[in-house]
Amino acid sequence: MPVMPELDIELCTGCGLCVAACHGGGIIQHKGKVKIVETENCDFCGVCEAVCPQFAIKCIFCITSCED
Amino acid sequence: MAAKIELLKTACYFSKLDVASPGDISRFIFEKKLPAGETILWEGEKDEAVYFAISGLLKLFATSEEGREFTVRIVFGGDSFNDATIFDNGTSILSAMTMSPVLLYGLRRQDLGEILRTHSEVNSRIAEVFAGRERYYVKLAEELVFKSVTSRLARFLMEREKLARAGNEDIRVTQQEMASMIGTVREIVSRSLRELETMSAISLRHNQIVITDRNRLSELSGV
Repeated sequence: MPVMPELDIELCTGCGLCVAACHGGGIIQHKGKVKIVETENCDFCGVCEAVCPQFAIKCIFCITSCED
Repeated sequence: MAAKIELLKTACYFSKLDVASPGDISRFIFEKKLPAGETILWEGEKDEAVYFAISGLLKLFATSEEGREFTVRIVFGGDSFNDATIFDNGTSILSAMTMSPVLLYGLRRQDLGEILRTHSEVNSRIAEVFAGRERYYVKLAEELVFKSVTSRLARFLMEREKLARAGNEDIRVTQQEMASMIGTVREIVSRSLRELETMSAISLRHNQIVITDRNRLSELSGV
């Protein structure tokens, strides 16, 4: 299963902007807030992070190298 | 007290003090311990102290009227910030936020005056610090004016990957953070990453930015 965006539930207000923005179905409304659900459809586009007004979602990239 | 004196020598203004001096100066220093994510200073605020990042990382940033943020400098390893306010009695030029738990040493304006009168070697050390700062800001201005976003992003990736190799740990960063550090917006970072992939310098593998050709990336960064 791919790495998913990280959600800080304390910052989340449940506005649902990320749910609407996610084209992969990786975020759902849950108990007044949202929940990240693991899905192969997540392509880490970063739109959920961009639309969140509370900065509650982060799509964290890892910079690495395949060279020695 | 002994620990404080040892740590004081890591502060950039005091790194060339002779053996006896740090103890003399440490009485003017106050400490601040802060967690990650704390804003210490706001742009335009009046705060008559210079701070030294004894441990941890901070970012100094400017914010536009529309709310866009630009990270001007990362402060760590004894480097100072808010220097201008204690020399010209003005307001803070940039905002400062901790990126990790931080230990700061602070020195108030009136106390710096006393130190400069009694420790002449500190004067020349401060001049060196400011000369280095001027070089840094000119280089930054050149990058922003003369280099494309893709070129700046290439350089950013190279530098961060080099840090990762040196520290033997992964560098984790969001597109928003990259945008803030290279002076652009998230959408342009996203586009520039795809551009670098098209040019075969990197490969985007879900949450990984893999540098596949360092030479190519270096060429694209203009370094």
